Amino acid sequence: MNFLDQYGEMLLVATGETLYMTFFSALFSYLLGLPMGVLAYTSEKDSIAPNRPLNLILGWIINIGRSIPFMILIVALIPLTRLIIGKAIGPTAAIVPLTIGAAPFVARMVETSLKEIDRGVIESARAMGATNFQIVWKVLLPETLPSLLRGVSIAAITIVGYTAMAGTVGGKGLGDVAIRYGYHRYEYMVMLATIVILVVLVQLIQVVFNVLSKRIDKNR
Amino acid sequence: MIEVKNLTKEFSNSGQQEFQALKGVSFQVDQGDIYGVIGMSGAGKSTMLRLLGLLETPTSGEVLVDGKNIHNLKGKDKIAYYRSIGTVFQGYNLLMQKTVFENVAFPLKLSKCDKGVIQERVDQLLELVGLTEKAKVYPSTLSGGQKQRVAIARALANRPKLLLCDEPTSALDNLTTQSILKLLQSINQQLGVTIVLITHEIQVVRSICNKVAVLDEGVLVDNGLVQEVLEQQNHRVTQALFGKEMLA
Repeated sequence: MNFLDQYGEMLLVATGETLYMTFFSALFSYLLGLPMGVLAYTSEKDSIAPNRPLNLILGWIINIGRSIPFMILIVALIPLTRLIIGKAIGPTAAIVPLTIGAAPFVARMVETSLKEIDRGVIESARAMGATNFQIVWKVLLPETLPSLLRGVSIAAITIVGYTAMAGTVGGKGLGDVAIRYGYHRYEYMVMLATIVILVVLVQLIQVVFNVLSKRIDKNR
Repeated sequence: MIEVKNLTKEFSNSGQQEFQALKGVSFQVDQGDIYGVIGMSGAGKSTMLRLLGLLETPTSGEVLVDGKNIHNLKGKDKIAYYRSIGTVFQGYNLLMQKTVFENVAFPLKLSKCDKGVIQERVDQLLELVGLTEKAKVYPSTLSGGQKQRVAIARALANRPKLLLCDEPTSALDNLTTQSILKLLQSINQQLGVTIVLITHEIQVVRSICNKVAVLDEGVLVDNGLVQEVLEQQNHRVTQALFGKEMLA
């Protein structure tokens, strides 16, 4: 029997699951991480709205979140996942730990992107009578958009890696297939196929966002 | 129009000794002046302008603009003050992801002007600074002089009565400097905008300022009409700054 006949559909479904987890986890981790990153930037000393307690708390949350190994985070978050999704296995359930695991990473990357902007530009916006809110919406985010987009590709690629881990504990997707067939059943061809698909996925994400970032960047 | 009274600004680097950037500076700027503030690096010129532009708070003393102490302004009044002045920086500080048109329109958008009003006003300003044909390009394709013209147009968008310029020509070559200075002069004469201009270049003071203040290590050592300050040369720093030019 031909390899594709035997495993093709399974691999296709698993790829779909991986994409599904990656897309929604990236989306939700930005909904959480973007405001965190912006606040971490604006609350810093000498920034537009210095606030030491807020800055410290955000710094702690981000660092603690980033230092918990993702495998442990998945297990630790099972009660929360049950609460939100109603069950702790399957791709939809995996989105909860994926989002919470990636959000601090996203926050740190957003903060780093915002730091690229010249302070003089912010100061001149202030001198034109911009409110803090206007500085964030009309200066910080639009001016750093190319860099933010490059950040999205790094975040999405990291999440693809995380989905493989989520797969091993019931999250399904390509990670699950690789473990069940490649590891438990010694079917190396299947494992190899999942690796190839993952590499192609990562490359695609990278290329798409790099091209997008370059196309919109007017400061070159 | 502007009264600077006994203005002092100290900066404290954590743990280290305090540094006095300005020590009890007083002077007055009248409506219609092009007032030059000159001095060597570290004399406190930029701090002076930042205090006038409300980008820094003084340690003591006050800045009165039309009789009001600007450092007491809060919330909406503070924003209103920002919108009543224009500031031009040495580094242009343009929005690099926005076109020339959008850059000039930016302050108008901040104050939520109507689209039609913005279109008309920006066209007018771009014509004034001679960049009508560059409306749709991005700043990264412009020369230094053109970028500064965009910055000047942007600073004038809200029809300010006062324009603050921090070393507006220091990054520019001689010829470009002359054209920017001419532009500032015509803005002063045609639109009646009062200008306070920081510089370390004597030619700048000579060519467009009617009054000048000389700063040295945070102290105002000389000020008055350019003509008089030049003739009298009361202070060694005035001599050092202007004397060199005489020999050249």
